Amino acid sequence: MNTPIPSSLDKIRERIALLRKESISPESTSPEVTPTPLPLFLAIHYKAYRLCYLDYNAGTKALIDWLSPIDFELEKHTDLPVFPRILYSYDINELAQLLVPLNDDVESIEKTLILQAVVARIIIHAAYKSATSDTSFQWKLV
Amino acid sequence: MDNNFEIKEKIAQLEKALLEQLPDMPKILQTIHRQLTKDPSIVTLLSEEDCNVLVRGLMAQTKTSIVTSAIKKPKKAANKMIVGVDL
Repeated sequence: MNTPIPSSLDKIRERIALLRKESISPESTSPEVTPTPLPLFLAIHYKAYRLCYLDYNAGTKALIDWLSPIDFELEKHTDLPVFPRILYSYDINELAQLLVPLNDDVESIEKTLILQAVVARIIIHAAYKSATSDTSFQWKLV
Repeated sequence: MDNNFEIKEKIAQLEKALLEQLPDMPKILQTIHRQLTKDPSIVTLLSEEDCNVLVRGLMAQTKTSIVTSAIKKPKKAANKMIVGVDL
């Protein structure tokens, strides 16, 4: 005589299957990552600027990798002032390109370029602010 | 322990690990990262020399991981080549 499988057993099996699925899903295995505020990166980068710049920005790249994801707090910078073009130095543009790298996805190139320009403006704005007033992050325009 | 004192101590440990090529560098870097993200304002306490040590540590670490991944990779292609030659 076939004994019917108790429904509770099915539930346990379902639960085990769910737990296994959860244990291999990337969300459950990866630790929660806290985004790094951009000024923190800029402060270290400014202080170790010479070293960061050597070997085609190898230090900057390593620093970005280490602190990723970096939070640009874009929503805080919707009304940035317009800066003179002379402030958009090679270094600033290079840094913005490293912080927001261009990928192969053609559709997002335009978005990336806009983001790079905004990040460059944020860097200039932060540098201008720290040079003119005493803020918690002490660094100046590179 | 005071957070400010702790980060300075970790930087000193990192410098030692760099000089003596100790294997615990990733762990020290992880601790420094945790401390910095927990309280970003402590970055103001770091001197230029401290930041240099930090970047040197990161660069050394990056080089190590690149070399390790390069060593691990090959073999598959070599097998395919042998098959190709046999045919």
